[in-house]
Amino acid sequence: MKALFSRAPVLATVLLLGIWGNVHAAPYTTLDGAASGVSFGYSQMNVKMGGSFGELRATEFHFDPAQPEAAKVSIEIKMSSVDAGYAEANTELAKDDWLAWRAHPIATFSSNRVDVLDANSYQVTGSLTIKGVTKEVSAPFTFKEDGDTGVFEGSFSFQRADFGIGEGQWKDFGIVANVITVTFKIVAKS
Amino acid sequence: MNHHTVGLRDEKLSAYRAYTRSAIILHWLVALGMMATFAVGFYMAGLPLSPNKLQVYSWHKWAGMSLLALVMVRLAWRISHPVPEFPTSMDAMAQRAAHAGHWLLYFLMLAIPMSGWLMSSAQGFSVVWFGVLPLPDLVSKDAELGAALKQAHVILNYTLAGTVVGHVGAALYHHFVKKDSIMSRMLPLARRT
Repeated sequence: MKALFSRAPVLATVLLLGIWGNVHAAPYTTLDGAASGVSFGYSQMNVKMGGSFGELRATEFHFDPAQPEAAKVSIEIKMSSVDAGYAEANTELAKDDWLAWRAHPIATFSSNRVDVLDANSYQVTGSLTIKGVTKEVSAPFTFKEDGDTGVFEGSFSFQRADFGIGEGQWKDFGIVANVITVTFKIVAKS
Repeated sequence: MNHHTVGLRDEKLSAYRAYTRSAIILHWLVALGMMATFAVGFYMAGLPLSPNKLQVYSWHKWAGMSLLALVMVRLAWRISHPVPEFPTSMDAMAQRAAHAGHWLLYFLMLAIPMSGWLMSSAQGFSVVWFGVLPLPDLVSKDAELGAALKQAHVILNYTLAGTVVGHVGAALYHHFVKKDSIMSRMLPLARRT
């Protein structure tokens, strides 16, 4: 009898832990815009430069660690929140030759597929739209749980000419190289 | 053996009252290089952002780093080789002033490219020498420090411009007014005998 009574709290604990566990395993559905960031690297006269976008938000976010293939994400990045590393460049990027952000204020990424590469490592493939041009890109990323948040980190590169970024006098890749590397850290809550 | 040879050459040089051929070449390379780089710096500062501006800035930095290396070679040569003495017609005060002027010039020749390199680092632009050799950032990116260093770079350059005017003025004064050999001993085509 005694043994039975002592089993009850154990059982309760196990059940509670089970629910607790389920809460944690719940899909991540909300992107934390303040904690997340998108940065980029480019090469100017063979000098490595860095920049970032200050404002991004998710119009759709769903990542279930138990079902990563079913994940879906759509992200919007405000082009005018760019910092390319120096004030003159930030002013220049507003122009039509670069991001033309009056006509195209938002760049979007919308996932079409998520593949599992390894334990905690995945690859998302989707449509990247910048300056009205849409191209498919794939980005490997890692996922880890940090407290009650999920952290997704990855990178990919694209060629700026594919999106008409840097036209006119800036077309020469000897000044600003064609390859732009994007690095992202997305922090999401359930 | 080597030491003996150098000793002999020094004797001859002091007899000719001339700088070594290397000292003369280094002097004129640095002089022409600094004037050209100064002119480019003066021209580029007001340019609006364009591919041309980025190229001109890069060339200015590459030239500045080349001059820094050249000035260090020159300084090593200056320290390791005796310079011809001043003529006795120069009083102690004038000799001290000439020495002070020369060392101020050496200080500025080093401080100007160093301040440029520092300012470039602080503004977040690494220097990649001729687009090939990445030089280390001397300080991390800091906009305020970058602005202060830019100001230092400009002030040092105008100090150099003023000091060079004094330097050239003194040389011409010696040549045309005092009619001594001070200037001709640094001229590239000076008679060596």
